[in-house]
Amino acid sequence: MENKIRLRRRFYLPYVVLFSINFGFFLCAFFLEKPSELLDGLLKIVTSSSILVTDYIAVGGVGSALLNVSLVGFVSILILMLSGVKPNGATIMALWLTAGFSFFGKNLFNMLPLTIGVWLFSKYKREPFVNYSLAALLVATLTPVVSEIGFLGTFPRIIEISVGILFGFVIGFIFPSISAHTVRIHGGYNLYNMGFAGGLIAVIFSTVLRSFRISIEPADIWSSGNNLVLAVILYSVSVILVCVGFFAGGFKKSISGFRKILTHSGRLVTDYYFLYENSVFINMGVLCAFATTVVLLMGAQLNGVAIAGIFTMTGFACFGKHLRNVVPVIAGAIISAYLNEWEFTSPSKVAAILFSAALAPISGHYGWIWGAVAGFLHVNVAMFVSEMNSGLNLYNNGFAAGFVAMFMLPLLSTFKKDKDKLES
Amino acid sequence: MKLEFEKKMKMASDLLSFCHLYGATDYHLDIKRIDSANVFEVKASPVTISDESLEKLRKYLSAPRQREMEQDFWELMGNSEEYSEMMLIGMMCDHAEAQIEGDELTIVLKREI
Repeated sequence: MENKIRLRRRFYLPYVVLFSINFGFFLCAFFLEKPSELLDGLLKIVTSSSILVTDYIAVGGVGSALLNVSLVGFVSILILMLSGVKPNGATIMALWLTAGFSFFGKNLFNMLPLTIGVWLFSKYKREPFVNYSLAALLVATLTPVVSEIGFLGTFPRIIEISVGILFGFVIGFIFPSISAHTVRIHGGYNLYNMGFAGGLIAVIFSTVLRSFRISIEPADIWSSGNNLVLAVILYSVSVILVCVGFFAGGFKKSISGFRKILTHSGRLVTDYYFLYENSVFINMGVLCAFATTVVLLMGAQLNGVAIAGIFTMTGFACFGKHLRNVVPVIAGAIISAYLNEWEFTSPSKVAAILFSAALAPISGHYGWIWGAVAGFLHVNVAMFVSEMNSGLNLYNNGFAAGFVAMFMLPLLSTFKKDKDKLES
Repeated sequence: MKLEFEKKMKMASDLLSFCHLYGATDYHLDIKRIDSANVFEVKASPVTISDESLEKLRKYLSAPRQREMEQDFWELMGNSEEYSEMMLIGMMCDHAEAQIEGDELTIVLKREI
């Protein structure tokens, strides 16, 4: 079985780029805060409940959050390299998504037990860990479970931490089986499939806890007032990515590849990195800048949650998203956010708008009007589904997007004709 | 390998679905075990496919074997009436060929178990 899987522990360009950006975050952290403040902030981050919504920038400060992002990023890249995973659209996406959610919800304490659980599952199945490397990173959608139990504050700390880690192992062990099956429920039109799988597990877990009168109170910790420094960081990342695309791919080839990316529907599985190689960096840079600009134009705050949305958009620029299929969905989401009863610039609204791009394939495949409808519906659904899982599922918008896709697809496939045969 | 039969059936379904989308009405499908591999051979006619689309098909099917993608996404195959999953099939195979002679499209895939 392993004869085709060669463990080539090489530094591929996508890993080098993300490693370098993480190293930049690492240096930024020490530029912004003193080492003692960083460690203090990191300790607060690691010992927080991490339940939705716990913005690590508010918990530990910008510097400590950046330090957390870089540490999680280094370990995630190391896991892929040691597993011998060559970069593809999905793995690049997973690394960026992990980086984004390290601003709110993921840290090494709550992530590693879940990853080890997936590793144990691969041993149980007697298959190489590389087969489960994507799940091993994206299982971190359920990191709040580990932290919530680990720092419950009811029992002796050592017992709580041990039980939290044990739950991490168990969830990591069952996660790959569930995520492999949920993908067919939404037919690949919800890009955040792991969020949908995580949502199902979190709902089951949450209802069991509630049945035993253990209540989990969602957190509401947001940061504000950091727009300038975070905008500089995010636009710098955008520029770096575009430059990498041009330098590594060549100007003409990159532009040509970028244009071809725009012709795809983006439905799972569409690996832009395999198809257009380094042109994807242009797409990533463009979407990173686009998402940042959307937040700023809304007059909202750049905080941990917004950055998670922006980095998720950036990562999925290798694996389904591009301006053409994202803009209609985001537009529909913004209209919905403007019209409905909640505050337009509230952080949860901003998150719902940015993460509505999970439904970009609907726009890409069925047209921009239906993409806008999907975005419109998503914002409303997303505002309610987190109550179902008590905030234990970090990729809550993936859970919401799954419901929207499940609702829309039967109707669309019945009343709309397929547009093309072999796309692009 | 567990689920290998289910994966084979979904791959076969999508291959036939692809031929159907390009106008085929007559299909011939062989799935054989040769040593440690499953080998698929599909012949379908009449197929109308442009050179550009044929090149795209070859490109999609030439996607390198990616077992992590197979693990997470194989269930996407075979359940869509209006779409085909050629890139995913490529990621689940070690070798692929596609050619057209007259109006007969032939696709050969080799999948190591």
